[in-house]
Amino acid sequence: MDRLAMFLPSVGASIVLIVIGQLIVPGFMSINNISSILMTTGLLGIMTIAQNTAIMSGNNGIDLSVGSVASLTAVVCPLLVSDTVGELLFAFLVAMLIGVAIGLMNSVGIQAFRIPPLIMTLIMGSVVDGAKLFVTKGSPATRISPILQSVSDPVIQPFRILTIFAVIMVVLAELMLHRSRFGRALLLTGDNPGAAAICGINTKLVGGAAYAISGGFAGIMGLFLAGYAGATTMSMGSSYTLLSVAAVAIGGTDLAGGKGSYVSCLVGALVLTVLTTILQALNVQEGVRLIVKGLILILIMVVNIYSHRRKS
Amino acid sequence: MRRPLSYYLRKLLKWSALPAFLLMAASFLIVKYLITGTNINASYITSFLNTNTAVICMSIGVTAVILTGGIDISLGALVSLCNVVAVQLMMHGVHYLPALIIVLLMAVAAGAVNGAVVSYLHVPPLLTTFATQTVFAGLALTVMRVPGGRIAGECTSFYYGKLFGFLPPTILFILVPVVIWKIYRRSPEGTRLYAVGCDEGKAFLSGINVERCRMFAYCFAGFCAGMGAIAYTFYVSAGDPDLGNSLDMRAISAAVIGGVSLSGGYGDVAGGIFGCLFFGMLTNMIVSFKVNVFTQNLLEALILLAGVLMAIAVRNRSMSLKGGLKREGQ
Repeated sequence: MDRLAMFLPSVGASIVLIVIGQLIVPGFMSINNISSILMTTGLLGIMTIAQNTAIMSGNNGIDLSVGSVASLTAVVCPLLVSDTVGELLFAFLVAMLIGVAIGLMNSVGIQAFRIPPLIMTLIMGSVVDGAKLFVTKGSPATRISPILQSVSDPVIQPFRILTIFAVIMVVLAELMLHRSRFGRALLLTGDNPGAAAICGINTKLVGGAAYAISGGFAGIMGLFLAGYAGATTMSMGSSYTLLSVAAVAIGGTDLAGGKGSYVSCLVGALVLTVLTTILQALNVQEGVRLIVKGLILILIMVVNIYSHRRKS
Repeated sequence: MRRPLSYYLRKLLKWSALPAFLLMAASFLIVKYLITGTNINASYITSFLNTNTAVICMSIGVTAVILTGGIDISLGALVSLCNVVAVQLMMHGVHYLPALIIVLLMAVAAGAVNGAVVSYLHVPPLLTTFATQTVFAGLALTVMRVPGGRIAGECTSFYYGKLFGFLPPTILFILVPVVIWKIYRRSPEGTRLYAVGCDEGKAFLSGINVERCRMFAYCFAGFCAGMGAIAYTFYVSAGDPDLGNSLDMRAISAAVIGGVSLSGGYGDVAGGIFGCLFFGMLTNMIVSFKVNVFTQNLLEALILLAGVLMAIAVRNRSMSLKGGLKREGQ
């Protein structure tokens, strides 16, 4: 019951937004539009796996370096792919490892030096941005190979390869959270690190692993982002940092840690994507679009908070 | 009453802003003695302050918010908004004094919106200010779509003139928030604000108006951002809807280097100021190293990381010496 209540705000908001979209945007429910919404949701969904893991690990956990990690892999990893599937898998692995390595550095700062996650990941983000400039000398990968771009090919309309991959990842993460020893340890550590330590959980190890996982998924997301966009710009991932935090919050994850669901966060990502799509279709100035987006975000947050507070 | 020297020494060692002060002093000394080609004189310091006033003001404001256990990432967008509003008002023939007052009032009102959503609607501060950041950025773009415009000539000549014949006028924009903060800190309300940051539940049970303390912190942050925006506007003499972007993260990092605890209740605005000065000196230092432009960002970020490591290590030590304060993040 408790887990169902977590879904309520995000599912409700997405239904309301889809109805609004259908009413005011012509062609909103066309197969192409749905397909592109689902795909963008999938991209943000991969990012929410990263962010949700970091936030659930508690200790005021948050990972503000995910956007920079994604930008780095988006700029660097497409260089590894020319035209074979093998190269794509290799690039995938490299992207993940880059992310995991950065995540591990975050873990060291947070667990060993007791730097608050917000600051550690924020500064790590600028270190990664600096490293990106250093490696690429300011010029991103110019050519994205067709094989990498094929992540946005449809399998069965409206589901594209990337959408299906993201859903599989989210389901696996959810199973990991509720069925595996590590998942339970993660939730318990986030909820009450003292109690977790008494239960024999190595809380530092679990907290550290959370940021490594977070970095890994951020790295994967960056590679797919490049494939999806078909071109790279220097900081194409940066806007996803706070978007992922918002999606995770809409998905009902407690920002204090210890409670959350990956599937619900995916629905949170859907809410944000549908919102953005509607606003883009509305053909208004960018400024007005941002204002409306911010106001709706506040509204969703307030509803979210109150639906949680009523129970407790 | 005379106290022994050791009393002041101990007090100095426990000062939350000490690591930031040392970092700042070290960076100044490095620039002064180890790097040839720069000589630190009055004009160097004036231009150094001019570039950093906005961040310093923002870090004063964000420190107050962090002391209550919150955070404010909307200040950068607020600076941009104040900047474009000020420029548009002056371009439309409004006299600069009323224009600046309107800008300041607007900044305080924006802070009040943040405060109200955080303290009365109970939305987590990070999410609230992310949403309001989007709104402020949107407003700024609506007010002015592309960079441009100019400000009244009196403002520029005031800013590049001298205060009482010797002080750079930019000091004024830092001094006003500091004085307001000091007065507030000395009042009973100031102690209450720290109490709210230390333990909200206990503060509430002791009869402290938690919401009012929060409201003050966010309004004060808005005011500081307004002051910073005015100084920055005078400095660049033009409007830009992206002016303040990314400054907020700089201000928050500076506040943390300055020794404020992100879980609230411990720290001082002086630390944030030292943190910003360290930051600014760091940038100057990296530029004067004459390294490859693509290496600069990486180098700066790495030194910053080292600075944070040091500041936090020192603070963790002094906090565990004190014992009474709660640890970071618990």
